[in-house]
Amino acid sequence: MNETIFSIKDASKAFKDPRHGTSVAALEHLSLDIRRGEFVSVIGPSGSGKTTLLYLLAGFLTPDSGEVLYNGTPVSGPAPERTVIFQEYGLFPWKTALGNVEFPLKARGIPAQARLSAAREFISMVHLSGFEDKYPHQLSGGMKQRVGIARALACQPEAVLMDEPFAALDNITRELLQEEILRLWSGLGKTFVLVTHHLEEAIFMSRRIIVMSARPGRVKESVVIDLPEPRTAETKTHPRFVELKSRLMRSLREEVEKTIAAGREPGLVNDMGTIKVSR
Amino acid sequence: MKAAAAILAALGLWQAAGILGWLNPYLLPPPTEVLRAFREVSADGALLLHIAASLKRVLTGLALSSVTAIPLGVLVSAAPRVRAYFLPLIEILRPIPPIAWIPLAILWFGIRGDAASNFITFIAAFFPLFLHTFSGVQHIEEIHLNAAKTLGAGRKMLVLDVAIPSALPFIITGFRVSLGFAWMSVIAAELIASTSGLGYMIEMNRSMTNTASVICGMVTIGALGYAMNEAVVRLERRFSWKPGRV
Repeated sequence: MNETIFSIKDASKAFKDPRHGTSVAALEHLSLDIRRGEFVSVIGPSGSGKTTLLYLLAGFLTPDSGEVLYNGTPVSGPAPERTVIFQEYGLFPWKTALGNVEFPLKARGIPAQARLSAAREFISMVHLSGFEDKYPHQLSGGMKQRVGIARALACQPEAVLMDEPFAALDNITRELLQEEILRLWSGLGKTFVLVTHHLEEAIFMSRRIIVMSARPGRVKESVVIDLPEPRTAETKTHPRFVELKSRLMRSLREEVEKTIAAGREPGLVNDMGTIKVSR
Repeated sequence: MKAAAAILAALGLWQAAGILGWLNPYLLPPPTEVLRAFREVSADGALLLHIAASLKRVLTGLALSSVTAIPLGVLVSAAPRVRAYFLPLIEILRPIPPIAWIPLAILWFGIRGDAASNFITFIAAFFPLFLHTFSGVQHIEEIHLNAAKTLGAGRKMLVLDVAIPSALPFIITGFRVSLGFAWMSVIAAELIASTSGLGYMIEMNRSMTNTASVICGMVTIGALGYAMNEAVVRLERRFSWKPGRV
């Protein structure tokens, strides 16, 4: 089971800055392999190209140079086998929870009856039975993301790509969903890639963490998370967890400080482009 | 309550002015006269026939424009290459008021029958519906498109399950605007190019200086226009997925 599912080879990606018309490099000469069945997190300072990296894997973006391979063939666009769970859920507000989960099944051409029972099955997997007929605006943030997860699973994906999936949720809901995702991951044996700025979340959930360097983004290091399995609530107090956390924190801080020194940290820079004196 | 009071007050003043002899009854007969005319035209079923004729034309025009404007709006919005050809054409035709098409409609379809009026209501309803559909599809959120693609949606599902439902609140608003335009235009068309309908009824009574019946026709037009708008507003609430407007 150690074969490579994703392979990024020397990929670079730049974006046009709409204000100045200049080109800003998001990723530069990035290479990365992800093995089948892995749970990998990508962390890094804001602007380090974490989301760009994920969108390359998803096929929303193509690299300016270099290659992104999925099972050995170049990624040419989005596909349900590499589906995405979005930070803002991306649910269709005109469809019920059930309708949203049915969507990928319908896209696969599954007939209406079979689709309905399969969708109900996926909804019960994320403990949302009874909410099938609710519209997204009638659901809480955590429930919306559960629908998002069920919908992604309904794609029967080989890989699930998650872009800050818990960022809009409160702490308790966040932890519940982290455990939920881990349970699904260990049950399904699929590849999960998680982009997050939340270090503890990354350590708790991953078997490997990719630390991105300050912009332009590159892989700074790849750290194996050798924590005891299965991961439980106690994992977060394990001495190895604490050790990994402080080691990764140092690594991350270096990059954040570089970002600040370059005056690029959005939260710390005012409109004049100078660093704010406070903090 | 306030609306009823305002209407009653206006009617009262109008009636009083009539009784006091301030109004020329040939030019502006009092409400009681209009009421009498109303009873007269409805007694032999003529009013209902005219209403039915006008409604049929409005609905025909709306139906024709729905089956053309909505698909075309989606197509022009979703396909940039088609857009480059179609949009300039539509922008040139759009400023022409529907009533300016009436002479052409008479030449093409004649005065008898419904064809000329149907054509005018179609023209009137087409542009608002097209533009609302177009801009509704333009306003699809990026995340919904990305989500649909990553869930495996093909072209057909992108149109039927994403573009159209996402644009539906816009489309229904367009439908409401179109209904108003079509209703105004059908009356104008019937004044000139028809032998039935509320517009025709008004024009016929004008030629006989039957002013009370003219006003009776106008009041009917207003009341029906109001009722249809209310009906579509209900439809809007029922079918619009936009939260907060439910």
